[in-house]
Amino acid sequence: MHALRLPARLDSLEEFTRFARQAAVDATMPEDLLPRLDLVLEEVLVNIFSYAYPQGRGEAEVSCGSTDGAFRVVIRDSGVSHNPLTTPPPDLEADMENRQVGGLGVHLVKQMASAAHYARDNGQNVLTLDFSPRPA
Amino acid sequence: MEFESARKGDKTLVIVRGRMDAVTAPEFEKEIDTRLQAGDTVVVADLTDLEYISSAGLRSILTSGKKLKAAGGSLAFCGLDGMVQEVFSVSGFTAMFPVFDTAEDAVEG
Repeated sequence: MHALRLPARLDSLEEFTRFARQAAVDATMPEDLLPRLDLVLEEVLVNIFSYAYPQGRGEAEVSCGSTDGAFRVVIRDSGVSHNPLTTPPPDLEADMENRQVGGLGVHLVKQMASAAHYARDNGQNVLTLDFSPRPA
Repeated sequence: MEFESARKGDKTLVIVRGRMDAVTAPEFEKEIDTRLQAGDTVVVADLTDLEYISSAGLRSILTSGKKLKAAGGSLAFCGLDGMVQEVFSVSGFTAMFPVFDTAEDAVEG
């Protein structure tokens, strides 16, 4: 798996995304995976940039590659212990007046990835996301 | 992100182009604020040329929809395709907002 480590700030998002896209292309993943990959990276990384390091600066690392026909993305940070997968689901049935603004990012990550797993490992948050090619 | 607005009878069609992400999403809300200040409260957003949307974009859309509704107007969409269509659908936005196939349908609807 290739890895890229950058400062945990919004400026880094584009480079992380470009890196993961290239890895997906190199792994000959289907093209419709790319926007889903962009979306998942943005949702997870923007949360890390915003909340992982309340005391100051830190880094995030993205590694990716293919495993068993799926494309795997692992996102690590050394910030506050946080399992994003436990975020309560949004109320998708609410009408516009009662709909809460926000809370959709993690929901989108769960919808777009075919599998998601979180671990706290050695002082790091480790989020592993798999993308299976969808049937045509 | 780029916008192009035009009056169509009593509605305003806003063509949205580009990407609605964590960096650009507030621009949509700003565009709707501009429409509101111009007195346009019934807005149809044509997303045919929107390539990408994230939760930041959905947040901007929901906030804009609430503002238009509070002003006695509405927000509708047309031209949903690919990942934009998928994100709208899994987020419940296709159920929350009126969605039309084409700009012509939306302006007549």
